[in-house]
Amino acid sequence: MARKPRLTHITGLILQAIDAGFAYGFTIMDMTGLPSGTVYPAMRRMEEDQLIRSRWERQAVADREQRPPRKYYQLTDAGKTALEASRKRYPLVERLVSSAEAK
Amino acid sequence: MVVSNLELLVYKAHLGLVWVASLLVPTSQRSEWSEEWCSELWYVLRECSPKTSIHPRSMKEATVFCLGAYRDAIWLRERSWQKQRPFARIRGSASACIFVLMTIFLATWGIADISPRVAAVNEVSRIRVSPSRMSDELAASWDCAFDVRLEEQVEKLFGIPQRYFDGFSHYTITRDTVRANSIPKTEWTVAHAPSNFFAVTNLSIRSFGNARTDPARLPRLLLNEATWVEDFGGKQDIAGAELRIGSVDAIVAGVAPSGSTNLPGRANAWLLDSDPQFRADNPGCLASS
Repeated sequence: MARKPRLTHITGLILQAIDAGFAYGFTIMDMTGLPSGTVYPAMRRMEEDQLIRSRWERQAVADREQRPPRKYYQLTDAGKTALEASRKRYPLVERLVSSAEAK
Repeated sequence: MVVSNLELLVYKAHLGLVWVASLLVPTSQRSEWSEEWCSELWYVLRECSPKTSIHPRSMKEATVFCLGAYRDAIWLRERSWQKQRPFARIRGSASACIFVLMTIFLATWGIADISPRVAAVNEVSRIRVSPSRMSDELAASWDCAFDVRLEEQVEKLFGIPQRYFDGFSHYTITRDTVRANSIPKTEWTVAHAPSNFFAVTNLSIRSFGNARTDPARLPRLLLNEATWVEDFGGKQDIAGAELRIGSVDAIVAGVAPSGSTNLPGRANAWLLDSDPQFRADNPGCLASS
């Protein structure tokens, strides 16, 4: 049984970033400005809480572009609901990510 | 992408940091964890040094990124431990706190209950509130009277070593005829007790200053306050008077404390240091402190 997820500011930021299309670890770090030691454990907890799910990129795609495969994250339905709740609780989060995206 | 030897060396050094961190990750997750972090490291190095091969700032960023791997690995390890422990979720909660306190309380209670000292105190408190309980048990073995080693008897009967008592005393009640010059012949309820009885029960005797003291010759008699007032008019000159209690001559030494009227037997007088005849049908009471 999944725990009731904690909707922190960091959770809101990461959900917002993934929703905005920043789909793998480095870009999420880059966009949110959070350090790796915060982003990765947070994403693991969110995955455990079923707010996000991950999938590995196919090796063939990565080989074609001569780079290692990426682990992509995407929101689940529960994640989308949590994102809406976080937007209400932290209105600035949406603006932060939107403005980062615009750059 | 052209990679110089120095870049390769830097990449491998950072890979080494990630590899060391991976040792903290639970074995079942280690492979995927390493793969993800190595992949991310590749992107970090690429993004941090897009033009020049090596730049101190990009080196620092990559190193900081790798140090984050330790935090992630530790988080995974702790999570793994929490899953293995059945009560991990209630750790640090109010429920856990109450559980621990209750356990300590029950353990303390259990230990106290089996402790000989506490058992002795409990036994003594029972003796005090229910003196008749003692009577039947003690009557058979104590009819030989005061020279019996009380502490040995108590230890034999209850398995309680005497050292757990600070003081120990007893008395027995008899109905005796009283003869004195100043009052007509009458009958009193007399409590026979050893001289330490009132000290043990923490009851203070009101003694008269002019009392003749000759404890070696005659047992001392302490009058109940009501008896002193009714039979002797509350006069202090009764002190030192000789009375015959049954077949024993005694000397009036004072008035028994008012608290003594609450003791079982409701004695008219307390005869100290006498030698009463213990009988199975009238064995007396114990007191201890």
